[in-house]
Amino acid sequence: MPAILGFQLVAAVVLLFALYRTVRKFRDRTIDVRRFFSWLVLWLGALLLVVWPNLTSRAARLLGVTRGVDLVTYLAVMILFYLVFRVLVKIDSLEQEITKVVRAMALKETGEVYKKSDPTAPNV
Amino acid sequence: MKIIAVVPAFCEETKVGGVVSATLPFVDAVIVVDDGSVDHTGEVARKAGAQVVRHVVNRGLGAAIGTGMAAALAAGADVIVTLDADGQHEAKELLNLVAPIARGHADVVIGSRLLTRRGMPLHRVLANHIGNIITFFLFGIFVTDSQSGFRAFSRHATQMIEIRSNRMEVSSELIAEIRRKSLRVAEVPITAIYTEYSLSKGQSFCVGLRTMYHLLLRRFDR
Repeated sequence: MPAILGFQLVAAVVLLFALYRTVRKFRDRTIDVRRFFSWLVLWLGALLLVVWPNLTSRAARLLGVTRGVDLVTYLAVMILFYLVFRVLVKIDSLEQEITKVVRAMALKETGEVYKKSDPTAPNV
Repeated sequence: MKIIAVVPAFCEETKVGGVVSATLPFVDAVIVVDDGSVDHTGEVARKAGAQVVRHVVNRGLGAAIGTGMAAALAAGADVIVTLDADGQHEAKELLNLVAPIARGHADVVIGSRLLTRRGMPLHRVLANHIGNIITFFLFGIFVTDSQSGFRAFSRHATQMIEIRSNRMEVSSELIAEIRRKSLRVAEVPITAIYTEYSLSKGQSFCVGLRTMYHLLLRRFDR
């Protein structure tokens, strides 16, 4: 292995720290198995590429991309777009759920109000 | 035949009283859905004789209509009419909307401002045309006034319709539901009362863009 670049060292340390924090959170049951596994794959994958950058160069050449780092960037951006899409859809779903709760509260309150003031009123 | 009017309202304390008073003579009950108003909309509506259902937080037009429909169904409505709380609709035209349903010719009736085009400012006519075209491309059904808030539904139609939109895109979603659930729809001309007040509300271009985004999202949802 050629001389290790400063960046690789810093990045490796940061990633190992992130890995440690992630394992801790899993142990503390702050995050669930799926989340833990996803992050584990991410951190280990990044660590792998940081320690052996040639991997990205080889993959890049295979796919017709000039530089390894360009390939990583392209992939990262695509993944981010996909994740953002998923988040937005999730938000929409949450909005619907909130409305369901607010509606249930509204109908319950109205039923009580009208029953109290006029027992003969229609049951809204 | 029990007719119940559903009026979704957000901060319309100056107008909702008048709308309720004008509508009561033509229906068996008026349900005002107070969509988290921060003014006295609910009280004003109640004093005018409406039954008020209140959202603790503002959820949007679609959510308010959904809640109003649920309340109306629970109250035993056979026909449900939606109308705007800002006084844009002529209450007595309500009867024209209910007629096709009463005669058994339609499940849903939409009041169209564009059959006569009276009194509508040009930019609104254009915005409506764009809305109609988008509705057609996304959901495969063309109506002349897809954004109209003056609509009537039979009990059966109301039970069949699922509203998932929270905000203003509900107008287009209702049209889409009509097609999906194979409901019979009819259009009836209505007059639009435009005052400086009601023009400041409603669909601006920015709202239109946001509405389109939400509609596209919904397209992929189902």
